[in-house]
Amino acid sequence: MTCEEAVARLYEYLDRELDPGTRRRVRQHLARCRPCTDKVHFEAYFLAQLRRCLVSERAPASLYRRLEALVAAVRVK
Amino acid sequence: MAKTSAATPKVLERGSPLAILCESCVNALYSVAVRLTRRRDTAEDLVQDTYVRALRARARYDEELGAKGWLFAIMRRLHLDDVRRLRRSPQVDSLDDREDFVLYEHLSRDAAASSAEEAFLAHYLDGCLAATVEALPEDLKLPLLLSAGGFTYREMARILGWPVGTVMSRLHRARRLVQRLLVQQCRETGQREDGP
Repeated sequence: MTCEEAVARLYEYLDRELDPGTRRRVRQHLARCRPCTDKVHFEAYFLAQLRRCLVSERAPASLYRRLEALVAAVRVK
Repeated sequence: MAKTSAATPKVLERGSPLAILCESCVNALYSVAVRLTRRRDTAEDLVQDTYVRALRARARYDEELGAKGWLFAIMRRLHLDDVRRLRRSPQVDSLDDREDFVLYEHLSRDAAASSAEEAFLAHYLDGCLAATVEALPEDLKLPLLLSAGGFTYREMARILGWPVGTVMSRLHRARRLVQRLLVQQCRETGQREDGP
């Protein structure tokens, strides 16, 4: 696998969406290619920061109270 | 075609699998709603409306999507209805997002940082990452938010009603565009004035 081929599959690799054979070939390429490995490490870090940033909100107590009232109303019916 | 459960209130009884799953989704739904609406009070309304719609439509509960995916699909439809009603238009569509590693290449030139990751921490952990995502067009923001929520390409395709290939291309495009926008912001605010 070339650098271009590995880069083209980068996000699928990081998202764990590649089939086992392609995933193994990407890993083999990364094992011998420092520039691609550095890029993969950075992209993995970037995606982790995105996850941390985008799904870290805690629902406020006021929302829970509204939802509890909703579910309670349905149960009463 | 999605399987649906029978119209039974038992699906929402305390301790039932669906009730537990729905309860466990509140934070994830609220997190995504905040990014979609950009307002916490509006996000609360959107999550509440999502549960109202889900309770009304519980007879059509999609077992293949699972509770979390089903709720996200409902929330996405409600949000798009709001967007259409308010006629908000995306502003960042025209930016070039085809180039790979633009952020990595930019940060790697930071002589003061030992790694691109360290440079990222120094420049972008001040809220501008979230603001950048919030400014994306809806068709790019949605897969980005769902991916951050842990959904697979196939699950996102079902939630969004898009082919898997469309999900992949839009998700990857969204990530590149966020990086492009961060670099652009960095240059505009002069944070990198001592760079090469």
